[in-house]
Amino acid sequence: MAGWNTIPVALSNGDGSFAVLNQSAGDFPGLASGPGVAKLAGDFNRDGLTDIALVRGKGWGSIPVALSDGTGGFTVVNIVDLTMFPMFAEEGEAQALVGDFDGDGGSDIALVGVATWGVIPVAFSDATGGFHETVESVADFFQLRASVIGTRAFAGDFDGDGMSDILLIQPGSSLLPWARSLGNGQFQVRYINVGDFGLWSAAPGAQILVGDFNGDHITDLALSGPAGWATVPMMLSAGAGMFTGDQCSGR
Amino acid sequence: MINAPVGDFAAWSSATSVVRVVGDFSGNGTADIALTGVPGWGTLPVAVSNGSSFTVANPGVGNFAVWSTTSGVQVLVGDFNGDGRQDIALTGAAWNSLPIAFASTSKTISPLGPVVINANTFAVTNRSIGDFAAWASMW
Repeated sequence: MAGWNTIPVALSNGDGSFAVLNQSAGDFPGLASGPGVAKLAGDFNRDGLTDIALVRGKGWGSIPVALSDGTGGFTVVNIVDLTMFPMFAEEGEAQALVGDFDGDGGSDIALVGVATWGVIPVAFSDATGGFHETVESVADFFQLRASVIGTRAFAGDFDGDGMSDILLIQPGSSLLPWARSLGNGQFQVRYINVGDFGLWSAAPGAQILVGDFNGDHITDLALSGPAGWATVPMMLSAGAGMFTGDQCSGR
Repeated sequence: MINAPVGDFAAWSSATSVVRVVGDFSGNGTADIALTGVPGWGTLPVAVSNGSSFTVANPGVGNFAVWSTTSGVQVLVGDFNGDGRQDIALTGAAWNSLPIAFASTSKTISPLGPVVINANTFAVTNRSIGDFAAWASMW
């Protein structure tokens, strides 16, 4: 919020009450109020606490991070250690996805959704609030597909290897582009055939819900919403990019 | 694909202005689906996943259902009491409190035998939070 120099936090006491803290966070709130800046929640230093990262600021060479200390306070880290990622992030259609793309237990940030890109920029967090970047090429016009109006990109571990992948869901399409993370900034594009689930997702009012609906620590999909339905269709991931009863294809 | 029947839950989830949220409200390790934000409701429907199908509960939550329809409200999912179940909080309105629906379980002894029935319920609190609520409404 413009004019603020604090980050208000309401820490739950567990009984419905909260302890409200409003501690100084230097210039972080001002940076967060910049036009187009996206505020992302994640554990960016692997300490088990939720932090806040900022991307898409104009002319930045860094990803400012407010690292939570667990008591309502934050340590602001703003290491200018990136060259390419911030420039990609500034592009108008770019969407930032938070996930653990290298499986190290920390949250990372990937960018999708710009039609002309042939790469997936990723900022991998380290344990100090800093990042290192990769800008690796991605096949099969993945970003062009991600940019199609109505397409939604989801970060999740769809193959159970402990690393977040990126799945594109285009309502009405049974073939979902899936960028499987290899952990080093590279992604292998495959396609998951979800049959009628994809067709049904185009129904007016349908909403795709992402979660681990069977408790196997692999990300699943569900559909909810359209009038006249009597069910909640689920696509349960069976690991290795396979959903129960359906097929995965690709190179 | 599993296409599990969910009874009235499917119709409720198509209501105008409904907000669908995902979380483990039952604490069984699987993600469930809850619905809120619909004018006229006094309940918080939840479809509890067992991994292959859903059990639907529709517990009353009193004014929480009404508050969830307030303009500008954001519905937040988190485990606000550390019991392993995710709860639902409301923020973003010009209030001075922060309503929470704590997910819990009611247990009933069946009159037909020593069977304990567990039903998903929510315990609602609405404690004062001072200026925080006003700050939240600025975003």
